[in-house]
Amino acid sequence: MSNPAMSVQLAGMELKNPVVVASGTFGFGREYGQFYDLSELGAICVKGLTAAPREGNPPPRIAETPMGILNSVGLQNPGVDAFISTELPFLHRYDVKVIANISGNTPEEYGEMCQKLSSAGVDMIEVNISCPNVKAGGLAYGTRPDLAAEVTRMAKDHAGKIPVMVKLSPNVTDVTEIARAVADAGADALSLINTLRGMRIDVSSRRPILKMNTGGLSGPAVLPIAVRMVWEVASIGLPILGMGGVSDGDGAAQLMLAGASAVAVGTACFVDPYAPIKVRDELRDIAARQGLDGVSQLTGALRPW
Amino acid sequence: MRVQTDCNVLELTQLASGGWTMTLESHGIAEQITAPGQFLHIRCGQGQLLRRPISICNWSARRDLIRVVFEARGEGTRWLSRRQVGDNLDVLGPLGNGFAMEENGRYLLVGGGIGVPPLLGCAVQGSRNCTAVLGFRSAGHAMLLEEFGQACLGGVRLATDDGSLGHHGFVDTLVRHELEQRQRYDGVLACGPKPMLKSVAVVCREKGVPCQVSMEERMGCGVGACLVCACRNAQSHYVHVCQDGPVFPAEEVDWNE
Repeated sequence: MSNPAMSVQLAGMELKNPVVVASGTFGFGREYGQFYDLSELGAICVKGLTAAPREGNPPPRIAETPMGILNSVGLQNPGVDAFISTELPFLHRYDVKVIANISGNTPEEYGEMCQKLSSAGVDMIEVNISCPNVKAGGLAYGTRPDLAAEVTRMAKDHAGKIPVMVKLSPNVTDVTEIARAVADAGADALSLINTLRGMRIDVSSRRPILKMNTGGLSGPAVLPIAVRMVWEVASIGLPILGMGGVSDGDGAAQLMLAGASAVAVGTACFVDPYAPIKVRDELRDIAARQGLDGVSQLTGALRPW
Repeated sequence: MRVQTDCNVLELTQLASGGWTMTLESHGIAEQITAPGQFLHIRCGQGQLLRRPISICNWSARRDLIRVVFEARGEGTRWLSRRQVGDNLDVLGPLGNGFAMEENGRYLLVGGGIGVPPLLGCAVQGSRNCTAVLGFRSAGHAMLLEEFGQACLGGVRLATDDGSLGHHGFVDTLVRHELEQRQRYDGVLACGPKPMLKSVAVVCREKGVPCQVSMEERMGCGVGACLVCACRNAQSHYVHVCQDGPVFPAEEVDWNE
């Protein structure tokens, strides 16, 4: 058994461990900060931000599915300005990297938000081009290479020295096509996967459970899709934050072997608030059992047939 | 710091109504309860990803006990009803904001169906000076009547949808009668289906009596992080049942949603 180093690099950002909490599952840290010291985490990816405050979608916003959940929160958030003035100072009290997740209606909005967040002092920006819930914008950017590239360029132009990571949608035929387009447009890193579009119907009432009819599927059910897509995208050569259904060290290690430098834990937080800590500790155990000097040696170390 | 806790099942019995009463050794959760109407978020087996919010019926901080009463309606609660004495449950709690009560205040408790159990906590822990109006589908669905009878100094009035017990009809008729005929109430505390809460809120507004209601919505994390259990407030903004509620002043709820 070795005593593996836990720190990893993600596009020049050093994380003390590879476990990030995924956007939209962890608020701005305050709630789970009641359970443990947020400095235990590698990074916090905050609830998706928009230029103006958003109320979100009508309820029900959640439906349970076999080993998964569907959600249609609809980017409810207080807006980027309120985040900077009231939430970011709270997060800065902790020794944890802060990744700001942003969604815009226009490329200009992405640029404007990047500028504000870069000056405010976040550590990284995650550009959401793939949220499937919002009627305006959202899906279109993530499914069209030219639009994804345009948004990426706009973000890069306004983010200053802050690395820009683009979050990819799995709701496409070929994820590498979009990945290559945003890489060419200057993205510093990729994160994937966002949720998969799904639907659940109450048979007795013949109504969808979600008021928006469809929503985004997450949870353990999507892990194999995430692993496959990370593996496909790894060939592009950009650093990857892998996510989708991670609930234990084994799932996190699979994403890293497939090519991820760090992993995000999301839905698992709803099941167990300590899930990110558990994933970190189990990942350390896996690296130790394999006699590695550092957990980062797992990244891309897959031996494909 | 908040913790997730393994609670030990001390007692699990089916009530005549078909519901279940479960007593847990709470490992410190009971002493953190600040008001009746708070809830526990309970993991219901490996097959169910989401925890189930179950309202606290009664508790003893001194004896470290929490009682919950629930109906086995879906997969999660059916799993819960199949536990054995001695089993451990993975519990988050106490969560949410309960009913605000003055120690010797005079309250009218209004419960419908599975909304009835948390009101027992109001009578036992909040103020003995309570009168209960409880509504059920039929006499066969009535529950906890003896306990409410003992806890409520003002007595218990009953209504059933089919008239098999007490008043034939809905609880709002009894609520109106209570507020018109009886001595002054400091507040009405209600838990049950939304149409019932709405009609109770209407009567209370008419009579000028403050009303608090316990709301329900499909829930995710239970702690305010995931924002799924949204419910519109009177200003048409979304608030969240798990963190801002589940108990709200009736005038802060958008009843037209």
